[in-house]
Amino acid sequence: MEQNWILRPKGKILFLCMLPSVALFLIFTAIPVGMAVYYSFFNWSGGKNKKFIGLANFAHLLKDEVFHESLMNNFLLAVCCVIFQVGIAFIISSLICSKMLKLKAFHQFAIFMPVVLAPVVVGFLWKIVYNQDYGLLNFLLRSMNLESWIKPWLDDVGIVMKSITIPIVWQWIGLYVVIFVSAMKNIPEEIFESAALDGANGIKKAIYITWPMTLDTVKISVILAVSGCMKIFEHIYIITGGGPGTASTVGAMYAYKTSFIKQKFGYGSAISVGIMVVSLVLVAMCNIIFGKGKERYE
Amino acid sequence: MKKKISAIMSLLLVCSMLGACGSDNTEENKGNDTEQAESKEGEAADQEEDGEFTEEVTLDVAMMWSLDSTTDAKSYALNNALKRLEKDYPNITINYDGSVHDDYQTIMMTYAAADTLPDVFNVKGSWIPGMVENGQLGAIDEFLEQDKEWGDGFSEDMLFDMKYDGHYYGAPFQDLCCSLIVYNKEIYDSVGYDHFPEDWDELLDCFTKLKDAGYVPLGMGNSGQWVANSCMFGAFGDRGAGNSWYDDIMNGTGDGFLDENMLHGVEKMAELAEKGFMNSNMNSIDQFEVMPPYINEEYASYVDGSWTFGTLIATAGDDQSIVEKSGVAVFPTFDGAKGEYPATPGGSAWGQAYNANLTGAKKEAARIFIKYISDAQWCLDLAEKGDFGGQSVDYDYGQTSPILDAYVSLKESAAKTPQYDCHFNTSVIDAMNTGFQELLLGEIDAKEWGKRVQDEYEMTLE
Repeated sequence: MEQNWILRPKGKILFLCMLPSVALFLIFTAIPVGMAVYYSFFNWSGGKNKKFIGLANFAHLLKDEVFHESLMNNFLLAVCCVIFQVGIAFIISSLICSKMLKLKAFHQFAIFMPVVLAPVVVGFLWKIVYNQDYGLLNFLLRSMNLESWIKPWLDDVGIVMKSITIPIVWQWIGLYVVIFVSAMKNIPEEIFESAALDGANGIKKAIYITWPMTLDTVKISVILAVSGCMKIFEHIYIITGGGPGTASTVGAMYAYKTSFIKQKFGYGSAISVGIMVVSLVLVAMCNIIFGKGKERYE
Repeated sequence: MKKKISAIMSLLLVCSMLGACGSDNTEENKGNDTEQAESKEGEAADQEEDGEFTEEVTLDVAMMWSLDSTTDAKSYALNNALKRLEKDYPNITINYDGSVHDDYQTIMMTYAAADTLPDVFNVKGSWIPGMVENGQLGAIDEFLEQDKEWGDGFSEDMLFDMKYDGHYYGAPFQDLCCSLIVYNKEIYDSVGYDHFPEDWDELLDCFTKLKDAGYVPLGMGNSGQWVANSCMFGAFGDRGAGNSWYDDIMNGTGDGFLDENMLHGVEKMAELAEKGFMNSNMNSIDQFEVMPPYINEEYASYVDGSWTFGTLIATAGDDQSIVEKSGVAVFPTFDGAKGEYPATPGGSAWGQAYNANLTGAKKEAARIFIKYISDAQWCLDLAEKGDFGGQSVDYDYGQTSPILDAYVSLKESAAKTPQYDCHFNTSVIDAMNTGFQELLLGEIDAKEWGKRVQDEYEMTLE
C-alpha cells in the first residue's frame, strides 16, 4: 500500500529516518568515547605535542589512591541513591496509586518540580542552605534551640559526602515516581481486587503484588540510578569543588581536575575510561542481581 | 489517522533537531572562512595609511571579567578600554567572551587542548611554559620595543611573572600583593592592640583575646582551593625558607617540598587553624563570601590579596564605616624564619597575551588592544575603583577610600616575594591546594602535606 512507507518504513527510508539520531549519538557519544580511549595512551598536556606511552596511564591509575577514593564516593552515592531515590519513589508511587491519598496531581507536581531544575541551580541552592553563617539549615536549627545539632556540613570530611547526597537524592526522586506510577497503573485492577477480597492490606499488596509486577521497572530504575551516580559532576563542582581536600571528589570531578587544572589530558582520559569500565561492570552486576525480573514471578 | 499524525510529528521533530545542528555548523564555517580571508588580507596587505592602522579586523577575545559586573574594577576598566578603542580604532571589532576567575582556567585549558585559543586572552604565569612549548603563545618583546612609551611603563618586577626562556609573553594588567590581612582596627583596639601584631607571640595573644571576645579572629574563603596557597602559604613559605627555596624548586635542586624551613612555615600556618582562630567554614565559602561576616563585624579580620579592596568597597555599599576603620597588614614573622619581614608575595601574576598564530593585520590589532587593556589609562580606571594596574600612575587613592591609602603605605614598605602559584607546575599547585584544605582541617600535618606535594613534584621532574 502506498501509505506504508510512512507507517512502516523500510530500507532507505528507514535508514534516512534513523540517520539524524544515529549521527547525533556518534558525534556526541561514540566518537568522544573513542577519542578518550585514544588520548588515554598518551602523555599530553594539550596542544600539538603528544607522546605515546602505551598503558602507562592505566598502570598509574591502578595505584592511584585518589582515584580509588573517588570511586568509593561514587559507590556511596550509588548505594544511597538506590536505597533512597528508588526506595522512597516506590513508596510515594504506591501512595499515589492508592485510594487514600488526596490531591494526587499536586503531589506529583510538587515532587517532580526539582527534576526540571538544572543541577547547577540545585547545587547553588543547597550550598546556600548549608552555609555555616547564614544558611537556612542552621537558621532552622537555631530557631528550634537545636544548636548542638549544627555541624560544618560542607567542611567536615566525615560528613561532606552525606551532605551532598541529600540534594542529589532530593532532585531525582520525582523522576522515579513518574516511572513507577506509570508502571503501577499498568497492573490490572482485578489482581488488587482479588487480593482485597482475600484480606490483603496495603502493605501486603505492595510486597506481594506491586513489587513483583513492577520488578522490570525497578531494575531499570536501579540501573539508571547507578549509572547516573557514576557520572555525577555538577552538584559536586558547585557545592564543594571536590573538597575539602579530596573528601567529596568523585570520578568525573577527578577526571576534570586532572585534565583542566593539572593539564594532564592523557591521564584525565584514562580516568574517564576507568570510570566507564567500572560503570559497565556495575550495570552488568545489576542485570545479574535482578535476573529476568518479572518473569521470575510468573 | 492518529498513527499517521504521530509519524509525521516524529519526522518533524527529527528534522528540527537536524536543522538546529546545521545552523551552528554553518555559522562556524562562515566564521572560519571569514577568519581565513581576514588573515590572508592581513598577510597580503599589512598597510598603514599615514602611520595609522585602518585595516578592518575582528578579534576574538576571552577574559575572566564580565562586562556587566557592578563590583569588579577590571570590568569597569575593560568597558572604558573598549570605548576608547572603538573611538580611536573603529576598524577593530572585538568579539568578547567574558567569564569569572574560577571558571576561566577550565575554559582556557579546553581551548588550549583543542588548539583553538582566542586571539587575545588573559594568561596566568604558570600556564606560560606549557603554552609556549606548544607554540600557542606569542612573545610581546617586539610590542614593548615598538611602543617604548607604553613598554617602559612596566617595571622588571611586573614583567617577572610573564617571563619565560628570556622572553615576555604577557602585558601585566595588575599589580598584586597576594597576602594581606584586612582587619577592623576598632575591634583590635578593644582587645588592646592598636596595631596589627608584628611577631608570632603577639599574634597568638591577640587572636586568643579576639576569640574570647566572641569574634572569629581570621576569616578566609578557600572554597576555590587557591586562596590558602596564594594568600597564606605565599607568605608563610617565604617567611620560613626565604627566597632560595623558590629558586631551588624552579631549578629542581634542594629538598623540594621536604625542606625543613619551608615546612616550619607550613606548621605555623596550620597552627592558626588548629587553635580555632580561623572560620570553621573556610573551605566552603569563597573570597567574596568572607566579606559579609567581616562587614557585619563577626570576623575581626580576613586574609585575601590586594584584589579585595575594590570588591570590599562595592560590597559595603552606602555604609563604608567598616571599610573606613579597616587597616591592612601582612602576617608577622616567627622564630626561625629565614625570609624577610615585612614582605608579601606580589607581582602581576597574569598578563594580556595573544595567540602565536596571529600575523599581519590581526597581530597589529592584537598589539593595539593589548596596549589599551594595560596602559596608563587602564591603570587610572582601575585606580578609580580601588584596584591597581601594571603601571605606576599618579593617583590619590585616599579619595576612593582610606583603606587604599593604608595599602599603598604598606606596599611601599613591604618587600615583594615570588608568587609560587604563578610559577610552579600546575599539577604541583593542585596538589598544594588540595593538601592545604586538609591541612587546615587538621586531617594531615605539615610533613604529610610536604610528602604528598613532593610526590607530585618529583613526577614533574621526570
